[in-house]
Amino acid sequence: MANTEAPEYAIEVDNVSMIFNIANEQLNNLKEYFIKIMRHELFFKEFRALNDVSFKVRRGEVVGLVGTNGSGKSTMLKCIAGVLEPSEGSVTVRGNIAPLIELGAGFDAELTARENIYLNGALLGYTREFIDEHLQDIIDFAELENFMDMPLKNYSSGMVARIAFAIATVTEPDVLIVDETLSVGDVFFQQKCEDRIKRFIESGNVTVLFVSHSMAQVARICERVIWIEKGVQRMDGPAKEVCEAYRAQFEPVPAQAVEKVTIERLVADTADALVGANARTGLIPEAAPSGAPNRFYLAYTGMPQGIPGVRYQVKKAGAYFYVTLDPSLYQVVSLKDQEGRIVREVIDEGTYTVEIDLADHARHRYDLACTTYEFTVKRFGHYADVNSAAWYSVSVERAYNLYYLDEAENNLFFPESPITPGDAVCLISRMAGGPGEKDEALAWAREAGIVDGLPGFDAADTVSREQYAHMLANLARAKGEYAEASLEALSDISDADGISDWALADVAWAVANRVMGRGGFVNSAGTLTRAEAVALAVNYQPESLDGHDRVVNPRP
Amino acid sequence: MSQERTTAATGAHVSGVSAKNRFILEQLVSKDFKLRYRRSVLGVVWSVLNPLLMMIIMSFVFSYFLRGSNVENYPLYLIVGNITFGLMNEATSTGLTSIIDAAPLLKKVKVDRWVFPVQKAFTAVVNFALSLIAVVIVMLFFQVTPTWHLVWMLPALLLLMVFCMGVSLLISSLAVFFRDMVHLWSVLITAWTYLTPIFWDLSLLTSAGAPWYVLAVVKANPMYNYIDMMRCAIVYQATPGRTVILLAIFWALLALVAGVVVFRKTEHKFILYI
Repeated sequence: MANTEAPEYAIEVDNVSMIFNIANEQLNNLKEYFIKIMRHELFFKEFRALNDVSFKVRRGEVVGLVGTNGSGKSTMLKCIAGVLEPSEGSVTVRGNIAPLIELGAGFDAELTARENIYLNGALLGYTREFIDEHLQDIIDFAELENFMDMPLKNYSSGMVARIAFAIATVTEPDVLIVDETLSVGDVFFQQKCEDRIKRFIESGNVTVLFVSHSMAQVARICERVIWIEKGVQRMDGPAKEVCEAYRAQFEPVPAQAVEKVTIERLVADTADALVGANARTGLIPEAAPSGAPNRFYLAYTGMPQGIPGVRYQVKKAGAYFYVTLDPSLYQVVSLKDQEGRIVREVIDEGTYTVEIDLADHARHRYDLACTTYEFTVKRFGHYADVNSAAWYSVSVERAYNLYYLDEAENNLFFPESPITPGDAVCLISRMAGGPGEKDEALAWAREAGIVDGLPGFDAADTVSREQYAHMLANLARAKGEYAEASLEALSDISDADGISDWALADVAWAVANRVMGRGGFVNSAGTLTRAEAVALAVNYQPESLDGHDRVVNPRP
Repeated sequence: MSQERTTAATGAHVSGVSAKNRFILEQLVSKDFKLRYRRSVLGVVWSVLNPLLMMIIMSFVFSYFLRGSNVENYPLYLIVGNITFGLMNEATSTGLTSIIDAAPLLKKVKVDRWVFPVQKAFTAVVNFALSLIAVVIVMLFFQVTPTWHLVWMLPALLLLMVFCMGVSLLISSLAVFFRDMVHLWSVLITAWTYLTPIFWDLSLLTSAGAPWYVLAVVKANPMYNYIDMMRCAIVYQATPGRTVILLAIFWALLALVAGVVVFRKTEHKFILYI
């Protein structure tokens, strides 16, 4: 190239504006078009993707182009590459361009790699002789010697990208446009591509336009940086200055404010039970909204205010089950008090690992914090002797999901057996957030006054319904939720006459608060069964019912 | 290595825009051609077989009903008409969607847009050239000896190509904005097939006493003129009439001008609609 004669600038962008008319509706046929014209309803909204942008790039200069997403970088690149024509102003590019923006444009999947090299080469403006001469270079660089006569449709996407990169860079271009999002093949090949780009830069003959989100990378590679924001040129100057200014716009979020994010809760829906690995140590499940089957919720805390992006990967047995890699898929969660939740569908039973990292997508800050968490999904049916058609099955399932119950031993629950005082105390303790072990639970119950005023409780090995109602009422008293109920409520009990005097008020409370079912029996129906105890406990926590009806004791 | 690189760099890129476009055209035509018959057993032979089979079936029926006309060698008459119309049909129908189909490319690479509709005319001509083998077979079979009038094929083909390119430029740019064109064009082509004396002869109309305006429409029909020129060269072995030649030139230029004007005016908006 005759550099002496060539003008000083490789790229000249003069007052470029790019205006898109966004039609309010997409009109694709004549009929719609004419109807709209007749009705004078053809409206367009003007959108300025670029607004009066001007800059010049010297031959051999390495210039970075920065800006947040949707700021007009891509439009600018397309104008320079000649794909888009600016609405106003002009773009002049001297010399040939190797646009490493969209690799493999013009490839035809049916043609072989060899045929595609010629086709793509023609589009890039190479001569036939040049491609003939350098075919081997391209093949060598792409490392696809043995696949040259295979149709491209049988190639992996990585292989296609390799060929495309090899063709685009087989010769030193005058202008090289590199988009950061470009990633070609595996790590080794990426290194090879980077080396080649680096060599172009170091040669000093190639004008490079480099687009990236990473300020560190831009500052390292480029001498000069142009910052475009919302279509307007904000800054143009030495890399260091512009990068600092660019970073400064994000200052409201101090980097050190980010700490480890912890998952506080793991929440399951009724259809599937979710059991956290640390179920017994502080993981408090919460009811999911009804009508949302097969979902799990992960609630987390510790996230800095105003960072809405959560990227997460869910692995099952080491394999990816669900991944969000595309930034646009970042779950946007509403943040209140530095908490958020992730909702995702869970299908199968198994142990899953969730890797969560937080990003501020709007400000291009990624990997702010990350954490890993493991949980297990089990479909209900741990208890072989709990018939899903039985009246208490919903309650037992709920209770199990809410960790009120022990892991099943031998897969049995014994729903019809009388509940022991120890188990009853344990159940109430867990429900109230107390300890789960029997001895500790009993100590807790004594301290909280749950078993106060229960004649003969310690000696017995069964629990009566009135005793249980009394215990629940005591719990309500301990929590300050107890409200005296009118004894008239007892008229709903079929055997109200048989209730002990000391228990009258508490049974009335239980019925009035719909803990105990109407039309049920208290003392004339034997002792309290395990299933009933669970049902009453669940009734006591109505928010845990998740829209299900309370279970009414149907016993005669 | 560095030495190699510098020598390579000087000759890497084509020197002008036209040379670049020529190479792109070549590559696109060869791509279309390769893809057309890829994985078919007979491959290119189909380009010959197709018009031959069509001719055999059509002449089987129509040769009787054309007895009264002054067509001497009906099979040859038929095949020449068929492949000439087929050339136009293929060039315009593929040209019609050429811009829409090239959307992924146009959105990513800087390439002159007119290349795509024009390229389809070239592809159609390549196919036409192969169909000529079928014509040669028919001529050998009926022992028709060509005369110097055969050279009329070249201007006929050239004018028809220009006509097709013009039409393709026009309709491909319209199709970008109104996809209705795709459906409309297939209807038009069918109607056009019947309006053009491909399997019937103009003498049938005159002998049946058709009114002047019907004859005028048929004779003004661009395809009538191109087919007539083609038949003069191959079938009649005579010089085409002056009106026919002038009309063929007129239509080619008109289509080209209309196509180029509309295409030029609209092409910068393509990217927003494809």
